[in-house]
Amino acid sequence: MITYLKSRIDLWALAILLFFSFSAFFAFSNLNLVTSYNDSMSHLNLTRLIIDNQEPGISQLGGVWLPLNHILPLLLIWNDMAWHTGFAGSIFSMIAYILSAVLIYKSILLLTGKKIASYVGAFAFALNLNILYLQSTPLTEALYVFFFIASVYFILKWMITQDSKFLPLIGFCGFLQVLTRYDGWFVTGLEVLILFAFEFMYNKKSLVESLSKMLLVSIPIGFGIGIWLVWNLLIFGDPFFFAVGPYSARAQQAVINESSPLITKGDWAISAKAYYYTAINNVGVFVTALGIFGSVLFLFVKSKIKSVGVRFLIFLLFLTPVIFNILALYLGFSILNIPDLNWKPKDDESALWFNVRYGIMALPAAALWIGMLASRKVWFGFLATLVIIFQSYVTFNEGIITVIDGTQGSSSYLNSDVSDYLKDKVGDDDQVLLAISFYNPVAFESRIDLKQIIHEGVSQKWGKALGNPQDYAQWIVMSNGRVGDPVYGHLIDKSNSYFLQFYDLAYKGRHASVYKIKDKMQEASR
Amino acid sequence: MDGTGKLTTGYLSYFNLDKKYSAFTTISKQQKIFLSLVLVILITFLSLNFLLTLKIVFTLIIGFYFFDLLFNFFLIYRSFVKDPEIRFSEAEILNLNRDWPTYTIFCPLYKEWEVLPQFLKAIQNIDYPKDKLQVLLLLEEDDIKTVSEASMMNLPPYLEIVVVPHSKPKTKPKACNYGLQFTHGEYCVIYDAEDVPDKYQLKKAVMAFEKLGHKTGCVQAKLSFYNAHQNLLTKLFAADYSLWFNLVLTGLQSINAPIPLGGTSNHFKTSVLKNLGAWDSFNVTEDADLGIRLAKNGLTTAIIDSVTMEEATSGVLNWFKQRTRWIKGYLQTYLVHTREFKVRSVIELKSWLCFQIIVGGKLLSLFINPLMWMLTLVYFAFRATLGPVIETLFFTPVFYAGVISLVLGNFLYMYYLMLGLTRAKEWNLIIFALVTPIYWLMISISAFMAIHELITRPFHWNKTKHGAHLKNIPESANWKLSLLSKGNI
Repeated sequence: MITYLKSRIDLWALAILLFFSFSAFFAFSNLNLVTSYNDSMSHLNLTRLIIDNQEPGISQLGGVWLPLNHILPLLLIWNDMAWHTGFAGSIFSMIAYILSAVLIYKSILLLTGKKIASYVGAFAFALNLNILYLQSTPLTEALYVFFFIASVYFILKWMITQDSKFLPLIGFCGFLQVLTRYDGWFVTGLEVLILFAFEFMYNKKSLVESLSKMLLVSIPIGFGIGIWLVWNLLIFGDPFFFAVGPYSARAQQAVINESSPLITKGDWAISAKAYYYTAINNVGVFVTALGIFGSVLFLFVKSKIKSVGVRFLIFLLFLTPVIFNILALYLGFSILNIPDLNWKPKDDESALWFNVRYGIMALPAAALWIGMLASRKVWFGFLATLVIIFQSYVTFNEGIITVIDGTQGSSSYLNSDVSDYLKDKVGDDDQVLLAISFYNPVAFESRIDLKQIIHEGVSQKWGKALGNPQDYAQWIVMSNGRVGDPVYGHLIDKSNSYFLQFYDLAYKGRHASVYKIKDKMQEASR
Repeated sequence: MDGTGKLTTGYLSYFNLDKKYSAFTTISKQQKIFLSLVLVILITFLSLNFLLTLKIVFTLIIGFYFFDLLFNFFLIYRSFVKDPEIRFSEAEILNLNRDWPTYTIFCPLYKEWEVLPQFLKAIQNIDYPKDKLQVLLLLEEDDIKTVSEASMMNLPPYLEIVVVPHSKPKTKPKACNYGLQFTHGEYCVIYDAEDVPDKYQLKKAVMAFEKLGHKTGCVQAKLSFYNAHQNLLTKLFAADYSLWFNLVLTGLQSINAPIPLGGTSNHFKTSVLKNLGAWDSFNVTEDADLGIRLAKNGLTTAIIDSVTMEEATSGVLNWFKQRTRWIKGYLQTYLVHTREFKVRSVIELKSWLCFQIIVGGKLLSLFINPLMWMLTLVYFAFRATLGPVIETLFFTPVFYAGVISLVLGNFLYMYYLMLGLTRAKEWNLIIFALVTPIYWLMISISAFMAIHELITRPFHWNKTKHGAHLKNIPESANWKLSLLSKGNI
């Protein structure tokens, strides 16, 4: 019996992962949490717009969010149920979650040669309630984590075997990383440098050979970035539209900065502290402690990898996403908030949480080090397993931070009142003018037919509708204030609210308002 | 083979190959009818509905590109995963205490007396019992200089000079066919005069034949260049070869596809070669043709982990001449092997499909590539004005597939070159793969020159000039010498 179980243990482990993944999806789905994030809805709708829109086409991919997370769901997004339940996007996160756990297992096995310890590491990853939530959503985190872990695995494999066939695979993982999240643009760069350092300094290979190997990995990564720059140039006329355009993270941060300066910008200590808090909230304080202990042992106590230099490079490799996040906070490229920081950028409880999920990027490192810790002594592994289970229990009781952010924080959907209002009011023949870059979730949640919406992607009507909305739209949705919404910018700022001659304020929500065309005008426009 | 040379309307071929399997007839009557029919149908449809016909043509082209993209990816993947190269370690070879079979080396030379000493040195270096070796220097009757230079040399006893009587066609396969009647080797191989083979290559070939069994008709060694670093052209050429021999051929081997043999270092069992009808004297890439003929006869080609160092053509004009000949030969090969469509089994169907993709597809892409590159450039450069016009030439999904094929395809082909160089451990050359689009353009120009030659002088052998590397490099830093002194050669 034991022999049978042993021979089937990998299959059992895979079955358990599948069970975790699907159970989590169904549980969060039952609680209506799969699409609770603003971004979850936007990701789904971006994909749907490619096929369902007044001007369907691949150009609907947009230019700010990287495209991979919107291309993959094309396989299922045509199905209304898969679209509205979020499954069209979540399925890829779920696959990514399962494969991530498998690769964490394989990475630890590669480094330690110990199966049980590898299972403990994979368990630390798989039982984390935050990753279980994120893998149930169409967000990019789970997918990115997988591509990162895959690159780590192939780098380790290459370091150990010295087989060049792993170099293109590392490059390919980098290619996928840079097309999934901007984190990848930095992380892959650091990975390439680590690879070079290993080859040149540790393996004592010639400069040309080391650089050539670096090039072999960098070329697919550069290709991925290049595609995105060219795309931005072709669609928006500026290769850096994603970075400096009106819908970029920079523009978003500028708006926040106006109300309250970004506390992490230019301050290493606060940046590190902010990320530390969000990381322990995602990974769990006990699991983080285990991970830190494992990393210290890995660095300073001899293991299968004899060279301290190589151990340091691997240590750095695991930490690359963490380094990126701290750097991005310091440079002001990224923003996150968590109650532990005691920062309240605006007078709203929701502002206490924002982008908390970024902390999940520390989970792979923690899991890998826990696995390595478990490889040292059997009872370490046993203890680690108990800690992991206990951590999940604690997290469950205290609240899953990524769920809290998605339901109460700034990452949550804040315009449900507007979508609820529109749901019953918009007729089948009506047209709605709204900026999809701002109100994609409104479009998603109100269930308005996407063909009824005039947005930035409807190039033939968008400009004209902003000039004379009464000729095109029965409804207008716009922000309550100057937050970068182009509809607000045109109709209120530029045209001095001239449109109000034709429209009445139908509903004023907390963050956005709905205008309805006056009855007289409606008849005339029809 | 009748041994005396067969007279075919003014030509001497020295083989018994059926005329329909030879490039003597460039294009058959049926092929002419078929091509004319295609042309007539195309013109008719263009006149009936110009735009729709163009859309369908572009759909076919993009479909082909997309398929080619996938197929090449599959080949490279297979090459990495299966790694079908036949390997023998030095220790394995040295520990063998056995009788080796007789071996004949063909070395056709034409106006190449300068590289003769290098060849002699390379042959001398080969680790094979010299009493079992027969080296035939195939010289041409009208090449008085080489004949006299060779005659004056103090040649070892295993080396024989064979003077091929002056006749048309003046091709390498004809010389080899002539030499075949003098061979007494159980196995045989062709080396060019400038070749420097791995010293264990003959032993490796014998061991490979014995290991793989009677289904193996040919063992192909890999080719590489000793003057790869001479200039940009040789660097790109080296990248091209690295990809072909290290990844593509091994990928093809892994799926048992027909392999168009590479110019030299293809080893045969002499009896099998004779049974196949030997080389086609009228085909200017007789090696590629023979590779396909092997597959048609149910025989396979294996790639061994042994390298023959060659001289990369370093002059642009010389390169164009050589490439034009190669493409002309591929065209001949394609035409010869598409005359009959006999598919009697799944294996034959697979073989036929692979041939269509490897030879037909490769040729087709050479002619279409410039058009597609131009279309892309115009599209991006004049997107506002001409972009919509170009878009009307495609069905929307086809347009997307086309963009993917073009962007990803061109990137991947460039990247494959890098991977080929990585396999060959040519680290210094990897960066030069980035400028390979220039090289692709040159190949496409050669393709059009090849069409012209195929029509005007189909059997003409554009002789590649060898020995340029000897002139350009001071003797003290001679590639040849430094390579010959290396243990692995």
